[in-house]
Amino acid sequence: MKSRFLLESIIGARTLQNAMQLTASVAVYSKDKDPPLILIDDHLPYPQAILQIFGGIKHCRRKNGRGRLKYPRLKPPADMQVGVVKKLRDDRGYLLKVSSKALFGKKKQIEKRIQKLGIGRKINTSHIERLNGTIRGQQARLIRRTRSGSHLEEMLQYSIWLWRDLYNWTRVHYSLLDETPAMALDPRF
Amino acid sequence: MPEQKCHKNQDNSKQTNLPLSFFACPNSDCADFNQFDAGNLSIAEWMGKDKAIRRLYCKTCGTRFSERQGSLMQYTKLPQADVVRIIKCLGHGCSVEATADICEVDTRTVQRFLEKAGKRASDFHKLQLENLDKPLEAVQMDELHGKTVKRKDKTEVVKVPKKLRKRLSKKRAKHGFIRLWP
Repeated sequence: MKSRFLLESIIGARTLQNAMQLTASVAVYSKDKDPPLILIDDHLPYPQAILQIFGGIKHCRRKNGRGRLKYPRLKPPADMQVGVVKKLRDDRGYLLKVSSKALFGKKKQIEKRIQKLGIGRKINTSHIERLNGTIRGQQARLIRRTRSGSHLEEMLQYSIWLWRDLYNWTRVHYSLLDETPAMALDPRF
Repeated sequence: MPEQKCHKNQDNSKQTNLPLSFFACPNSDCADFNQFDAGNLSIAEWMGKDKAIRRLYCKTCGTRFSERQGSLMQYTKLPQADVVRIIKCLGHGCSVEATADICEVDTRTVQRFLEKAGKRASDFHKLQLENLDKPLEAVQMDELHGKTVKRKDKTEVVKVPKKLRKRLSKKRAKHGFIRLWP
């Protein structure tokens, strides 16, 4: 069951640090239970951020008995499933092809889980992309080619926090059978 | 504490007082801190210009506090209807100037409310998600491009020779304009 709940929004550059912060918020809200199915696009810092947050340390064994030991590496948990949507673009930035792959876990199992949850058939990020469209349409600060953009990052952050709460907790959604995203996430809300 | 009667509401719109079970003691040292409907609160007095705001009294720790404490209405002189309208405008994505024009307030008031409301919204979000029992099943992560004006770095101070400085000051005085710094 999809909930369309917006968990976290972080303002800043597209760096590893911010990607880790975003992934950490997912880990905090999953509360030491099984890691959720994560669907991402091909933004480079995400795999490293997911490994840093969810992963454990893998100690390498010596194969032959000679030479230097390999440094310990990070490995994902056994039940971790991460799907990646790859977009191939030409020089002008036009989309040529969309492909998907499994970063951790098996692709067929991920697709089965996606179908079971009712969020599509293949690996996709369509829900978050649609949400991006909604926030662009509803916040003057994020409209493309606008003159009413934010001067300060803090004010943009405050307006997004406010919008996020109104979206999550007060606005009913047609596709959620006239429930708010919070109600769809947990009926107690 | 004796209960006094409210003489009249602050504004003539329908403003109903919330029941006391909706409030909790804000004193962090109190045993009933942040516990709703604990039966420790009573009305101490009515305050404000129109005697429409209640001051509550905690029987456990003896603290008195305004019913507006911690809310968006704290320290504001605007009526509740205006505050609600400002937040609604901001939530629907109106710009600060548009909101100020619609609600007939100053832009600085709107900015102050945006800051307050944003922080409160973030706190509320975190507080509610702490009580979440259901595990997350699937998460999608993505980026959204936005633009903010970059803060200018500290500009270098240019040393101007004394002669030029004098000439500039004379010109400025003579013609009544400010010349751009070389």
